[in-house]
Amino acid sequence: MAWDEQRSKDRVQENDFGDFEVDVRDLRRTMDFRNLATKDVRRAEAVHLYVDVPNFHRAVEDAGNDKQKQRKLVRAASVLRKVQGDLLEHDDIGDIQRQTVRLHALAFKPYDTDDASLEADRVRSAVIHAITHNTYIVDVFNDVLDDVRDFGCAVGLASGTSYIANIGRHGNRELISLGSCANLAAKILGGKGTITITDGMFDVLPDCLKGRFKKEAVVAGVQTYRATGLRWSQQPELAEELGVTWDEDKWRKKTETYRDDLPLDSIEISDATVKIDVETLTECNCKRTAAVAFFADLDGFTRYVQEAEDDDQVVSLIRQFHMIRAEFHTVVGADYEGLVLQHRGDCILGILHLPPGADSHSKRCEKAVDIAIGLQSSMEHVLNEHLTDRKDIHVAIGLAVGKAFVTRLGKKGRRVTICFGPEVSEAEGLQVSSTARQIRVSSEVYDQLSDEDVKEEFKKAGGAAYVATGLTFPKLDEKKEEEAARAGLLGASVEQGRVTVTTNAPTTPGTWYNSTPWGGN
Amino acid sequence: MHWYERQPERWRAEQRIASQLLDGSCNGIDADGVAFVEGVFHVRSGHGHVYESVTIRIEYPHSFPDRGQPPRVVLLSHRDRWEVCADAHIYSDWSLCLFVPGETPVDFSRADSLTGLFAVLHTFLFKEHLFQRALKRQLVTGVVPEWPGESRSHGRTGVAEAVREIGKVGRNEPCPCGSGRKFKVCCMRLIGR
Repeated sequence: MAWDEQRSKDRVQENDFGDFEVDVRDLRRTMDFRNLATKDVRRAEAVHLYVDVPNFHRAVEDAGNDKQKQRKLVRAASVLRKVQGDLLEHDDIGDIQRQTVRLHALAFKPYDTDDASLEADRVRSAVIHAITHNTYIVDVFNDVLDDVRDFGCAVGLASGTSYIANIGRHGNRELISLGSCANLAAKILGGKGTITITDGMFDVLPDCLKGRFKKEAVVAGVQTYRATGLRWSQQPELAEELGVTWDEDKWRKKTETYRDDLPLDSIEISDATVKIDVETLTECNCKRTAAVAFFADLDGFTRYVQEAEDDDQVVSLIRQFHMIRAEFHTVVGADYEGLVLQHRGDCILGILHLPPGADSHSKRCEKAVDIAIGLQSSMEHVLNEHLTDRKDIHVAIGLAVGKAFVTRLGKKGRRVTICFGPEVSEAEGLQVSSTARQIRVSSEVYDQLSDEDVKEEFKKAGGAAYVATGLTFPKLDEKKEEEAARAGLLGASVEQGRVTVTTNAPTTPGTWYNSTPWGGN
Repeated sequence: MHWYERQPERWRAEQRIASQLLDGSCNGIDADGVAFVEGVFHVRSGHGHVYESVTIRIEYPHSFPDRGQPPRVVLLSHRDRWEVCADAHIYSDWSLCLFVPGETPVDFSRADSLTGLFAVLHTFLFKEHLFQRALKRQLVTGVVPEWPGESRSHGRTGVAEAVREIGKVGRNEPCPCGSGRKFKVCCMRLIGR
């Protein structure tokens, strides 16, 4: 199977989510946040926190292909994830998503009641939580999980209005947040030991914290401020002033318990020889595979969400988001046998690991590039036609090939699929540096492309990457078919009421027909 | 008796194939007793992108399917967009010159020959799409467009080219030009054997 415009149009027409019930309300209760149904969307005035381990890719590189080291890394990620959940609960912060070792959380208390002074309280509790996280990772986690490289901690925070929706199916919880503040929090993440905030947050910080932040870069038009090395153990006076009690022993014991509950020999790692069934994965049943990892991000969608002036517009956007998401899933899964593993807001992470085996390396690369072209084709030629007045939504894709490690962490119903590997991080980097309608591939993927017409579309970009802009199957088809027409190699055949086209028709008559027109008498 | 009366099964087969490949297909017999099918034909790329959606009418000659006279394909749409000229292989009555009739690989004696005609038509219309685009560009660039791919010369020269390509045409066989007459009394005298 491969991408086909007619099939894609039929799919989108059949299920454009026009009847999908969406209920937009303000976030007023914790229960609303925890038990969000797929039809529910909550508008939140809140602070978004991204907590990341900026050197995690180094730890992944350390593990390489060594199973025992990979087990240690899985255990570290699992323990960190569990403690992150406990820390969030302790500080009454909402958990949106824990992606591998990156946490996306939401400080939404006290609830917004049109009282501007409450924002200062939310900002204060969010920054306190950021310092707690930094303290925990540096002082406790790295000490207890000493069989992996020391993790760093970086936190990005941005406040504003965003919309929280649950896109998880079959009773699973998979929250996403739509809004520019959520994206900004991820964008402003700094290096190890940093906490980065926006100017709006800086303005309402208590004085004892204000003095710790310094002016940093302007990101997406927003002035940022950054503090480095804030830890309760190093700044006890700050903890006292803010009324924070940091119980290191309690968190150490908790971490040791989680570590001991997951002995290394209980973690089974096997190579994927058939398509990975994600539903069967647990922290004790992990898969590793040679794969092409890809990140596809919707460009422009966040802007529409931010510009939405009323609930009707938000409802329409959420429906469109579901429509785009469903189509992307079908392109990846049904058209090309790929796997969508994770959603990060309006970005999807997937892999293509079939066909298996070292001999199929180039096939996987070509097929993964086809996935990227298929996603661009669906966006530009099908979905945009259904987006009526919102035609400025495009997709930016990054791809890299290498080893990927796939597993699921967390409890049943709240499990999250994680996928890591040096090239997974590379694919993410390639996507981040891409703009609308671009496909950016690593040089290794580029080198495997055998179709000269596809290869020609990719131009050398910065670093070891190649980028194609506006590459879709219709564009590629027209180029190939025009060349074939001029060379006498174009052919068409009709089977089961459908015309099939080839650009490599044999010159002797058979199944394929060509036309040699005549000027007539 | 008309061919569709003599061979009602064949006529039904033509209608069935047309209904599969034409959107909004209809068929009938006109006042002159000519059987026709018509509808919208989508010219698509290998991945299903629609280059053009053209409304066509396929008219069957009285002698069909004998005597080397293929159906006539007439363009009903695009008359406001496309230009009629000999190099475009569109006659002034908007019928399409798909091939030298005697040279076509489509065997019209077969019940499924219409699928072959649609396949030929598909490649022709894609090339026409390219040619008409080049015609429009000519106004700006001044570059005279060429038909993309092989085509036969105009008039009997083209028939001669086709005869050379075919290799041999018997004196009593239908003339490759599609006149319905024998070769010996039609083009043979003019182009030589």
